[in-house]
Amino acid sequence: MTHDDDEIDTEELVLGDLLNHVLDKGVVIGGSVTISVADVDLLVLDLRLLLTSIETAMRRGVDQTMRSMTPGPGRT
Amino acid sequence: MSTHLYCVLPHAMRGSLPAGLSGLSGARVRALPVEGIVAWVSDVERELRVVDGVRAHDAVVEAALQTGTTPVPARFGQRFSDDDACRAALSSRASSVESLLSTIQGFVEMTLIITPSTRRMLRDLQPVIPEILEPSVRGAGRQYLETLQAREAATGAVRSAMDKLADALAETLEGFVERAAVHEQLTRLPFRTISHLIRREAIDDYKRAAAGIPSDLEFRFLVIGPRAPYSFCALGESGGAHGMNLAD
Repeated sequence: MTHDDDEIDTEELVLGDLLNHVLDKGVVIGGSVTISVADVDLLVLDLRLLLTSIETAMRRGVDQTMRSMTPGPGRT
Repeated sequence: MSTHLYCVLPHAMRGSLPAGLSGLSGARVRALPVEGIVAWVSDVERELRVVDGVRAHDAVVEAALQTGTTPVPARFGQRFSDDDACRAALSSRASSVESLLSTIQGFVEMTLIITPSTRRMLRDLQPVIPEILEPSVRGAGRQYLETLQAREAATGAVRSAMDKLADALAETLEGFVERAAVHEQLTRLPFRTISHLIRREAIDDYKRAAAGIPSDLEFRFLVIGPRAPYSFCALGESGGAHGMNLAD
C-alpha cells in the first residue's frame, strides 16, 4: 500500500487523520485553545487551515490560497 | 482549572480505569459516575496545545477501548468549568448517551485514507496550484480564475482515478461494514477519508482483505485503526461527526 517515496508523508497523513477525527473544530476556530504551528508545518493544507494562525498565514503570503479553500458555512 | 472530558463508558465499567492513567499535561484521569454511565475526565489548564493535546486525548480514549468495552469518545476540546458542570451536561443527555453506548458495543472504527502518491501529486497538482496574485495587477482576477479552472481539471482526473480505488475497497470490504461515513474534505485537494464501523472480531480479517486490494504506484490507501468510533457518535442535534459534542 505504501511506496518508498511516500514514507515521509505517511506519518503526516496518520497524524492529520487523527487531528481530523479528534479535534473539535469549532473550539479551534473559536480560538479558545493555543494553536501550535511548529509541529505541523508539513501537514496537508486542510489541517493548516485549522492549525495555522491568521497572522502566520498572512506573514507567509498564503492568505489568498487559503481563502479559496475555506469551507462554507455549516461544514464540519 | 477546568474539567476535560475524554469519553464515556457504561456504568458497569466504573472500576475499569487503569491505575495511573494520565491525560492532558500528565493530569491524572478520573472516573466520574453520572447516572447509568461513567465519564473519564481530568483537570486541565486553560491553555492547551493542539497536537500534543489531541495525542494525549486519543491515548486516553484508546485506553478505554482496550478495556474491551467501546467508549463514546468526546471530541477534543470538551471542557467544563468543573466536574459538576460536566456531570450536568452528561446528565441532561444521559438517555441518548446510554442508547449510543448500547448501539456501539462490540464495534470499532476503521478508517481508510485514499490519496494520490507524492509522485502523482507533484505531477498533476503542483503546477496548477494557484499562485499568490497581486490584486492591483491588471488581469489578476482573470488569471486567478484560470488557475482555479486548471486546478479543477487536474483534480478531476485524480478524483476519477480515486473513485475506482474507492469502489474496489467498498466492494471488498462490504461484508465487514455495519455503517460507513465518508468524511467531507475541507479542501479541494484529492484526499478521500472513509470510516467503517466494524465488529471487533473482524479487525484482522478486515485488514487482510484491505491489504489484498491492489493499488498502483500513483495511488495508495492507508488503513488506520481500530479506534473508538469517533465518526459514529454524534448526539442528535449537537451536530458534527467527530465524536460526542456536549460543551459549547
